[in-house]
Amino acid sequence: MRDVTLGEMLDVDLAAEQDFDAVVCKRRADGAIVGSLAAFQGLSDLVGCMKRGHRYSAVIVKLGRTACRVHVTRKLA
Amino acid sequence: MIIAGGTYLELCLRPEWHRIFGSGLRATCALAELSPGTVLHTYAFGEWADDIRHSAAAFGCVAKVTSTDTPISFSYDHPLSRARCDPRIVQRNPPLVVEGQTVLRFAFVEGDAVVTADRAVYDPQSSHPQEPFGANGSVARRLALVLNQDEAEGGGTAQIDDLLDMHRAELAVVKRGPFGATVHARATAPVHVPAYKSESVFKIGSGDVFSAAFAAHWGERGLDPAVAADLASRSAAHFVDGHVLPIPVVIETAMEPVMGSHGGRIYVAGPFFDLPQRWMIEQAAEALTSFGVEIFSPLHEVGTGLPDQAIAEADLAGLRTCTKVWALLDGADPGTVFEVGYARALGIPVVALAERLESTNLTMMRGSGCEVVQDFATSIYHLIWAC
Repeated sequence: MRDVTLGEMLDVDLAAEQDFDAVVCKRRADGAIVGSLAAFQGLSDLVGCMKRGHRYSAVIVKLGRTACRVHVTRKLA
Repeated sequence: MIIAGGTYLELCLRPEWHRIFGSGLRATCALAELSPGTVLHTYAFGEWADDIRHSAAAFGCVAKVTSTDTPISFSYDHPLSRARCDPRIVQRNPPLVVEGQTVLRFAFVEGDAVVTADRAVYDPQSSHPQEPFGANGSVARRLALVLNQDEAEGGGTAQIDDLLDMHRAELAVVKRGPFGATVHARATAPVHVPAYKSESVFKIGSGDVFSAAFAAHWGERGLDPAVAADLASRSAAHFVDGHVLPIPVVIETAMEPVMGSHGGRIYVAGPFFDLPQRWMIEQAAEALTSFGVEIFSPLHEVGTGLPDQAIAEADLAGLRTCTKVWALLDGADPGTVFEVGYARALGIPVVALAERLESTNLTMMRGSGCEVVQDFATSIYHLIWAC
């Protein structure tokens, strides 16, 4: 978590992983994957919405040494 | 690695936690780098099945989910509290059938896994692991058990030998919470493996990560059991410092091991004038004694019914018999602050819990060498680890 900062906005994107997509957060400056979203209710709904064209962003609300917490919101068109 | 284990909703009041993990999914995510392509076999509530599959995919792993009709959750007040399973009585499902070179098998609340493996690690996750590994038809050429201390029924050599016989296992690793683990193998002396210190302690799931790392290092890499258990202990320490997944392939070597194996005698300082305060004191006492640590609790040993002088003398006499102090500083109770100062004057280490006390109130505590933390489980572990 050395290359991101508290309050930083990240792009939420899909990454193909075998048969199931993973939801990843990317740094806006260079598109580098910071981490993934996993292990919560509604993840598959989020994937479905993204596949239908909805776009999301994430803001870092808590930053630890090795992990961070993000708040994900839908981007308005 | 093939993993058979449950995937459940986990809820914790403080620190706040609301995630779908359980032993199976957590162990799978833990091994994403150490054992790429790990496959999880699990049951799960049908509405969560795709959430779980996408979650495993996020770690480059595969989840094979057998859907069920019932959502199962485990709730905690804090990470050291007893988990409450909802529903209390869970309908059993037909067993999963799992086959692989190396298999990590956790017990389920809603079913079972019949395992065929060359090497298997079995974590029965129960206070009463009465059913042998092979009772459901499971077969492994080499079998290791990973047990909690209470599962090992005292952890003495005779009891462990009985468990090894019952499960037809060649070794057992008994986890001892903040004190590390002990590796028992037939006809050899037990080997102690230390716990390793971490800055914070998020305890939920640490045993899952320990078992996963041990299975990878002993089962897949073929390392010596004691070496594998030491790496598992380091992996668990890495994990609890913020629920960090996956565990790294190369674990830090500079970790500080916990010395000693009893935690000393601990004075439980804190106010107990209303229900929330008493609840906190009870939680601290229960957590410490659950690790086999001896405590002196003014609430329990002295109470409130004596004259002031008698209470003060009895409390301070008790404090002088202790080697460490746990203090609940929230509320800045004068009696507790006095006890902390008294302890520091005697050179007794103090670990204090202050979830919502302003920093200006902590000057004398920090300045006199107290460790002040905001998280309950961390305060208990750091206290036991304190020298």
